[in-house]
Amino acid sequence: MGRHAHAVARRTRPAGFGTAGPGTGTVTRYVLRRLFQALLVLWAAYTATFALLYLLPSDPVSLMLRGGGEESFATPEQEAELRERWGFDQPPAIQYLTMLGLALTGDLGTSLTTGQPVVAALAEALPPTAQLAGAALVTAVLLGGGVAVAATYTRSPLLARFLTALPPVGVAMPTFWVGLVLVQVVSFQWGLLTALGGETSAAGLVLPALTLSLPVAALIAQVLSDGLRAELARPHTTTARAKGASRARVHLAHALSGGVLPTLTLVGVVTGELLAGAVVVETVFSRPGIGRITATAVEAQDLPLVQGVVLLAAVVFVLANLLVDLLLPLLDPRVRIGARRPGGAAA
Amino acid sequence: MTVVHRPTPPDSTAAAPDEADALLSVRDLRVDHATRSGRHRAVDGVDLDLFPGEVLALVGESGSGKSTTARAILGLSGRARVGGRILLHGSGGTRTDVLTATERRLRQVRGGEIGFVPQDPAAALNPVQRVGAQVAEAVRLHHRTDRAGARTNAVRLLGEAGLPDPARIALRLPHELSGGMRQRVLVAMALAGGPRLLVADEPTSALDATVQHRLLDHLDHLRSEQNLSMLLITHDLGVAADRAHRIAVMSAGRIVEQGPADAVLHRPGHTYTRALLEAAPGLDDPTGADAPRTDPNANDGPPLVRVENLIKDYGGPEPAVAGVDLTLERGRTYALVGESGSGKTTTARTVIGLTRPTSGSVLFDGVDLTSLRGSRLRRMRRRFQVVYQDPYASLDPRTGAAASVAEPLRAFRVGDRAWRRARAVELLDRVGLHASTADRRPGELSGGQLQRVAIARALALEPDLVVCDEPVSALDVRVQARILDLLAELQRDLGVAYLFISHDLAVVRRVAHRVGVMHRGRIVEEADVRTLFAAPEHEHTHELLAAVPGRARAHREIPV
Repeated sequence: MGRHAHAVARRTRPAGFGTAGPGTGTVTRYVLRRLFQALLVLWAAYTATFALLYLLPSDPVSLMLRGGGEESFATPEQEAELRERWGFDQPPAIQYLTMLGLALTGDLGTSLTTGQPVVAALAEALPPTAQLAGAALVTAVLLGGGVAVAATYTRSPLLARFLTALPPVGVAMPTFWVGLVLVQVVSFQWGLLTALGGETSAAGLVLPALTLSLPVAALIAQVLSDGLRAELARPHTTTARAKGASRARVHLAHALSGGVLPTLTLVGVVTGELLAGAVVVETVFSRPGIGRITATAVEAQDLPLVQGVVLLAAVVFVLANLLVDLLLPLLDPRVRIGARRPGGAAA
Repeated sequence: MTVVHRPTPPDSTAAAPDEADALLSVRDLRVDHATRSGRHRAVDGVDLDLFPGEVLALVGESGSGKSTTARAILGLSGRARVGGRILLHGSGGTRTDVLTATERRLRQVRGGEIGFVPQDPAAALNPVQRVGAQVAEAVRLHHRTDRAGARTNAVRLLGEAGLPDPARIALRLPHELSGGMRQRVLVAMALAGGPRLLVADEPTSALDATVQHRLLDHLDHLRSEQNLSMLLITHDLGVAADRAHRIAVMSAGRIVEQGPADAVLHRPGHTYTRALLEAAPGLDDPTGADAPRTDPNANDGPPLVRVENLIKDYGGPEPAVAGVDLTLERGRTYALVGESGSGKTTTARTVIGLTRPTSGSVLFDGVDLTSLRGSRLRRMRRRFQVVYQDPYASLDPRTGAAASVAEPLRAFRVGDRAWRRARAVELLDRVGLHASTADRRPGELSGGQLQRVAIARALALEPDLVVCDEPVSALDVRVQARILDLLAELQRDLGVAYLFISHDLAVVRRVAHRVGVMHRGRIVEEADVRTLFAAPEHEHTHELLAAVPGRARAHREIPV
């Protein structure tokens, strides 16, 4: 019976009935339509942040000059000159259109605190954050998926109850606290994996990535074990058992193929969550990255930089969800790319 | 007196063949489910023997323990506690006790020696895998073959199960197939491992009578061709009568009667078997069309509903409804019969203004519904209500019975809260539900009780017309009979008219005054119920009549 075991490991679909997917033309048109929608989303995000940030009662120049509540050393004339230089003396509508025009050409303005172009600042901060978030996402999927599969597969009621209780705990623990505890215990008491000091080495990545992944892993474990339980309660898993399939095979080839679908959608959403979590984790572990930039930019009310971060988050979010939507038909052949509704004709 | 579909038993003279010849012998099977209120014994000392080439029907109502028995035979009892013996005799004189066998051995038994045909084909297939792959998986689990070989085999099996163009069907997903086709896929899957025994758990109860008939015929054919034995689990005595050599009647976890089919059907020894037989809506039913039907409200005044040249086109190859005319008198019952997809439900939905027709008119009490919009249509809605097939789905699981019944009253702002509550309890009483059920939620009520709640809800606004869409086809026969009696009684007392949709002619015969037979969007024959059953004219009507289970029994006499 060993052949069943490797059959499971090899592939999810039992035998090769190829997918009769849509033509490449349909997919291209679909992706183009989605990218166009993405542009609309970006525009909306940009406009909303502009409205929110620029129409606040205080103004960037006085904020910049009086950062931290100190007296300004600049004369009113100098202030007015600064306003004029950055265009803050213009009516909001003109400011908006000018900035939007510049944004379209890839110029997101200049940081008010460092004087560095926003695009350059983001480009510099992106790689370490991408590394961190990517590692965290992989960890979360493995950890959350593992817990969910184990919790639903085990025959020991005690173990099942223990594993099922983990996700709520994982969600409830605040990220900064987990991070501090990990640093305290692993780095200081055990002397392992020195995590502080902005190291971007692999060893330095372990603790921050783990910290960032925990709430996401908990979410995945929760949703995936619910999905698996629902699938296992469906008659088709009984049919598979009655065919002579092993428990493992039924679990991995039949229950997982349907039960993973809600989790996939979730992963698209939590990618945004990871960026938000990076703010805390990068601060706790003193790592450079988008999270740190966000924290300092918000603190200093560095509006162009904040706006750049918001745009970047929107891009990540839109792309992650597009990727999920493109992956979905591969896992669920009932979904057709470009179809207006499931089962309907391709658009 | 010809018995059409009953294969000759392999050894019809032997009264009780030796256990040693049996393919499967079940002894003193006990299954206990753990529930919150302690243990519940679902199967209580069942003994069964199944001989090679034999069909044994296990008959009983839902909750009698039939399906639990089937699962135990496959070694799929899950967490339940199982006792007794389930001996499977192999061809080489080997014996396997399913209850003590290793998981490894059980995997060979499942599919390889016992093929399982589950009920509800819609849910029994993996929705995200192509059906060919699912059959091929069953092949590969029991035969050493590569993927291409399994695929070829799967296509062959699908063809043998009676699917046209199996190579194309193999690439379909379950939701792209009809119920009958899905059930054939499940049959192909059950036969993939080359079993000698089939356990079929209500294999056709989710299907139309004609589809059911064809499928059971095909199953019979395959069974005799491959000399298989079959344990046929069904709630339908008609099906058991047509298909089984022997019948075992199950009630409350016990086998109350077991014997050759003829003996059980003609000389039922147990009161429970008698009750089942009496409730079965066969075509020989004494309470059927020949019984006098009082309808004091009939034929006074103009008809309640007049449908003229109704067409509804959803843009498919042919319209769903292709020119229907029908007239429903006040206080009477018009039954629309036909297979699924024949346009019955679309017609009914149009009659009550839930679907707008492509063309044609629907006159409800002289008012053309198709011309009404918004609040005027809404006001008309007080006058017609619906009872659906599946009460589990048509009642809010979080709402108590009385609140569900009061909902239409609330929607039309009739009375105050206390009055509505009192009226709901009164209506529940009217449909035979005690006041103690008033606050129970659907999960705490049986299927029959739920359908009573649905009927009470439909009557809350004292409508002139109730559309009953397969109102009893999800229920056990005895419950079915009681609900049909209730509907008839309510009609007598309240003068409500029914538009009754059903695929089951035996049920229709019991309630209808006038019957329209629908086929591909048209009414192909319409007549008074007596005329239709006495002298059916259209060939499709003949086909529907021939498909009614229990025909074999209908031609014999039952001593009561």
